[in-house]
Amino acid sequence: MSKRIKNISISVPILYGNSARRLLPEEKTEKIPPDHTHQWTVFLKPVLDNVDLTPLIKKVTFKLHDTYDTPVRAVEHPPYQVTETGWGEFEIVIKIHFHSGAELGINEKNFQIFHGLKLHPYNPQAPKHPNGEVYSVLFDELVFQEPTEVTFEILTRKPANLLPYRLSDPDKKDQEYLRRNEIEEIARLDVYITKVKEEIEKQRNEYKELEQRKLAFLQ
Amino acid sequence: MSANDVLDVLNVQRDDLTQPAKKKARSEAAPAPKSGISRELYNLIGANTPPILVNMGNNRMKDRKLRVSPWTKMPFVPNERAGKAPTLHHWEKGAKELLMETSKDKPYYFDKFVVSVDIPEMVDEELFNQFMVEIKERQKQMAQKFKTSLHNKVEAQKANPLGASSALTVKKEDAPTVVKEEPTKDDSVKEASGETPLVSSNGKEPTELADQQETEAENKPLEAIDAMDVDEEEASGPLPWTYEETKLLFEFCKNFELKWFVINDRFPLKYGRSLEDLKEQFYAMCLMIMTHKSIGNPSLIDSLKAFLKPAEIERKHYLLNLLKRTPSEIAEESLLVIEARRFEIAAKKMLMERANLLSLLDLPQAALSVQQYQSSQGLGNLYSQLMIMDKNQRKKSQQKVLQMASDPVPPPIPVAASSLHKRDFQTHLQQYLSGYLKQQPQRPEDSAIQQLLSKKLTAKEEEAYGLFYHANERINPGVILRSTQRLSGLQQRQSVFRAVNNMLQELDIPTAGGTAWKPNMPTRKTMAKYDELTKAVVALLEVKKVKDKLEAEIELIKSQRELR
Repeated sequence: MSKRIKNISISVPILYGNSARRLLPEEKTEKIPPDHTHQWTVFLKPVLDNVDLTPLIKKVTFKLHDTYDTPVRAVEHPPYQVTETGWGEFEIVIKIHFHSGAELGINEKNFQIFHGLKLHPYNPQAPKHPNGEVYSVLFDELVFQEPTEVTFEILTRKPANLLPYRLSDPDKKDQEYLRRNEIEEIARLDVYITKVKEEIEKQRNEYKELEQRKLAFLQ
Repeated sequence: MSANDVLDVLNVQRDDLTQPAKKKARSEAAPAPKSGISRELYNLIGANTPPILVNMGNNRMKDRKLRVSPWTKMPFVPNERAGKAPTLHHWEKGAKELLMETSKDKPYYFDKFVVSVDIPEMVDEELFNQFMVEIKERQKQMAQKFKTSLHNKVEAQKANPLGASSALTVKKEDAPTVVKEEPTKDDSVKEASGETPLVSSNGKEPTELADQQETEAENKPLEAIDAMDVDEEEASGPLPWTYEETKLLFEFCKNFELKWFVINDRFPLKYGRSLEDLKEQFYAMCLMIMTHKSIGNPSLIDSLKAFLKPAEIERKHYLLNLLKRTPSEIAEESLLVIEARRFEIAAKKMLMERANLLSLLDLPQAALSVQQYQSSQGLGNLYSQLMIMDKNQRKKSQQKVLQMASDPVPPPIPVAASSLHKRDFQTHLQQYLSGYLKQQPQRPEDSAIQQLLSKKLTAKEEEAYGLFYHANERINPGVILRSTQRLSGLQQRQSVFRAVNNMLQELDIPTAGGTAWKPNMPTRKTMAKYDELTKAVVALLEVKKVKDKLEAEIELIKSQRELR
């Protein structure tokens, strides 16, 4: 069962990142250090809510800045997220721990994703949120290359790659990724590729011309 | 050398007398001097002119072709009987006078294809009210009967699952057969109303439908009954039919020639009638009018009586369920059928084996003592006895084999009939996976791969599972992020990446600053495109490098020339 299936890969689209907002004066309790200005939540989740990764993932740890108490926070059940307050941006290491044990047969190494915490608006195109919230949500896919048969079984229980076609809320443009975005991106890349290819053609023609000129000079 | 010479050489006797006198005369009459090929030809063929008179390029044909036949623009009135058609014109072949004469009092040719449905006239309001009371009474009875009969059937099926087919025949008999108003009228009408799910009078459709219903009916007869109970409750809900509404319905039925979908579509929404409601009211009213006026043939009246709304709704429900089956369900069903066949064949095989075994056991019994076989004569007797038995048995078994051969072995299910056939096509991934399965020493029947293969996904669906088959590339086992996938074009040195980014900026392609430009949404497809783009830019850089080098070379030569 722990045999790997060669030449196959299975991908699961995920979202990770953080949301952040300013702390209101009345929210500041005694527990929160006075210099903390923001409250933020860092998370990792599959794009589709109905996809259950718990058979694969034992826990997810978030490694915060060393100045925090117990900087490594482990979350064993979804939602995999940590909410904290703070004043500065830093890089958070999100580490996925897969279930171990030879008899289980998942046999994947723990996996790290780095996320730069964002507290301040960084993207002028992002929609404005009433509470001045900032979202830094990234799309990626976990690709299980040559999965073991167990992993294969777990991941083929449900189609996980059905990206939504519509935003659940028009204000969530910076928090959700749609199939349309992918299609648009492919189209955009296609345009770039043709542009580059045209440029190659142009350069090649110029090269040929130069060759002629060189021959003319040498004669 | 003339033809006569040739014939002489070949020793052919020429019988001048058998030649028709006429031909001779002609050939003699045309002694015109010939030249060139025709002379040579004449010399070869001689007086032996071909038996057929070839009419070379005669003028008569040409003349006929050249003559123009007259066309006349004739007025005509389509559907004259209806009386409201305008006068139209079309071109007809022939002279005007002739056409005028022939078409004077003939109706328009295509008028005979215009047919209308014969629907009984609507009665006046008083009679209508009277009818409505009767209809209501009858409907109540019918529904009650239908329900009890269905319940009985379910009970019977429960008690005796094999009796399903007999129940089916009962069902066939009381399946709602509804005859079109005028079945004998015209074929075109028949076709037109054939579009509707109306059961036509020839009874072909009801059997078909009943067959289809069979499978479903066995599965959920009770559900259907429950559903019907609900239907009944609902049926008592809507308003009773008013005179105006019924009148409108009759009008629509006439105008749209009983095309029920059209009627239902056009029927004012405010009444909130379903197609079955319309049918029910129309048939019931027609029945009342016909019996009242004692018109219409008895078979038509019988079929009108047989119409039952709940049955109709149930029928549609079944059909809908049949249509809604997912491919996997269809596949499962056909798999079950195949399995059943396999069982049948296995059972047969076992019977055969048992028979063989019995015949083997059918040996002579050692009733007598061993004493008699101790002499050589006794042994000889035993030997011959056994030989005879063996022969007999062999004969028997041969006969049996022959019998088996002539036995009607159930033919394999035609591939086209099973729905599996449609999806026999396997994607690369599936081919690979089934190959992979075959390599396994022990194959658990319910492995995940097996299950996946049994779903027979299309390439699109595989994408939804995120599955991908890497045919020609090596991948490292383990988990990675899509954005860090090591695609061939992306394995460049950092300096190359920097150059690539610079080049992209030069070409006005946004790179979001930095050197670590990646697609926003790293999926397999976008990453593949990104890989392609990077490769293209690297190629562009190469070309540019070579070009720049050449340019520098030319500059060098130039400067050297100037120096000289």
